[in-house]
Amino acid sequence: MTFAEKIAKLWELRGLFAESLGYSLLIAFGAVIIGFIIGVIMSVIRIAPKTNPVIKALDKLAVTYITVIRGTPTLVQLLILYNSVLVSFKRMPTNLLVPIIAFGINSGAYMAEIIRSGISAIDVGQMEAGRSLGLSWITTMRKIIIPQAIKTVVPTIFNEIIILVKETSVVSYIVLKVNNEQKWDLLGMAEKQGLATPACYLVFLFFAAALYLAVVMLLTALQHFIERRLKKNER
Amino acid sequence: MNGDLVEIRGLYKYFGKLEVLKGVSCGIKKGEKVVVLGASGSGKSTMLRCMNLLEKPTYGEVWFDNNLLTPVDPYLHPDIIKASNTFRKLKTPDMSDAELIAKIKKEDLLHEKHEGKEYSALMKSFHKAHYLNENLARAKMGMVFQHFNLFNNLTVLQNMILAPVELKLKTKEAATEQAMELLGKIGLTDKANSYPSTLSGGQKQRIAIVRSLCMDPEVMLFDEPTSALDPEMVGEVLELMKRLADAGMTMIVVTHEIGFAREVADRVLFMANGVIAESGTPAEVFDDPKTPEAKQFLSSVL
Repeated sequence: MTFAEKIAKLWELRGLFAESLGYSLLIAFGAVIIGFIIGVIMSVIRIAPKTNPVIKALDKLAVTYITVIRGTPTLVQLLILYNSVLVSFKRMPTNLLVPIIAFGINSGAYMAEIIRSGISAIDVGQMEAGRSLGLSWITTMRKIIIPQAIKTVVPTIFNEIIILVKETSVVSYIVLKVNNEQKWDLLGMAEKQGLATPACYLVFLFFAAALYLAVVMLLTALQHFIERRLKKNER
Repeated sequence: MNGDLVEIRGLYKYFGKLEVLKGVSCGIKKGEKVVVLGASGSGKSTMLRCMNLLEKPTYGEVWFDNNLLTPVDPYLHPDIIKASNTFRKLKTPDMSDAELIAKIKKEDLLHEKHEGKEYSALMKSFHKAHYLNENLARAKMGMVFQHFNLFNNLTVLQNMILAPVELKLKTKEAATEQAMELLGKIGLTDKANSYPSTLSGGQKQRIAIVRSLCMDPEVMLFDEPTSALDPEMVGEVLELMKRLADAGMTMIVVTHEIGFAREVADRVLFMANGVIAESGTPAEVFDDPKTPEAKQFLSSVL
């Protein structure tokens, strides 16, 4: 097979690759949303003054969650979730929720620590000023501390999002189903087509790599755009 | 409890092993201007921060407008001590009630959990009769910080209207109108939509003061409001504080500005080693200090 023929084959399959990239991005996007929400909640629990037993218990729970999730491989978490905890999802006609939840829970642990570091970096005077005006701890967190913390952790959050987008490639270890039809993520598609046309395997892998790279470069551009916007807001 | 707007009673504050306040009591009447002086580490800022519970006192009570902001401190209430099991157990005929109460206080003999039903009931009923949630109290106690602490993520106007609107004390329109009027009074109307990072220190502190005023406070606490300012900006902040004093605001000011104290204060408290060492009119404290600590402090700052 000449190089031109390989490229022609790739061109023929462009629709399938585009669809699989779509699934990869959908999983990553859903996971980022879930991870961010979990991250904000967990970081606030971790940072809250341990004044009553409920918060103390929640804090223990958050610490355990962060330790376990950060301490085990993403692929293992995905397979456990797929094969046991969410076994009913496995039989559902569309099971995209399995990887979205698995990666979301995974990312939440990292986001929690990122956002916590951002909150710790905010001057305690901001909280004191809010409290001295009669605002509750949680209102001051919501209106003053979290917005500032998020701003300072934008680069680190994007780092996590970029890692997450690439990490979704392990989803090819499970069977994705949409409307009872089997589907593939980007790497899964490259592997599947590579098996069907071994001569083109390497070209497909390079193509998948190029698409991941393009997505990450777009994300980086978005990050810089957001950082500039946030800076402008302060001037 | 006796007509004071703010009263602290028997206040102790420990930071770990460090005793910062060692039994401070004082009352501030409505409309009174009190300046608190003292060397650094004397506990003056901690006392001020205890008044609105930014620091939680280890022992003692803080009262605001006849409302108790702290948990009940049983050692301040002889009738509660008398109801305790400890008191009953230790009571002997050759010891007067007052002596025993003093002994229990001194040796910290009360154990919350083992003092019996009567004691718990008294504690609870006293708490219920007087307790006020700290957030409600703080809404009426303005505080100005050394480092301004304007909200960095909000514009000047948003800084000012956040609390009154969030606490549903005012509509957004009413709060905005009041904020703009206050900004007009300090000549900073044009900064309404600026962010704090674009302001000078003096501007920040003046805005921090009017941000507190947006809550229509009954008392203003100032924690070294000019200490972090460049010298040329101290004047504008003190000027605003004087105007506030002339308008009749109750003020408690921790500062090193002796000139301000002389001009504005009705009473000066001098703190040393965690207690109020001297208290009196500016003339009494400045011209005729009694304690060696006050003499030394005044000779170093005057």
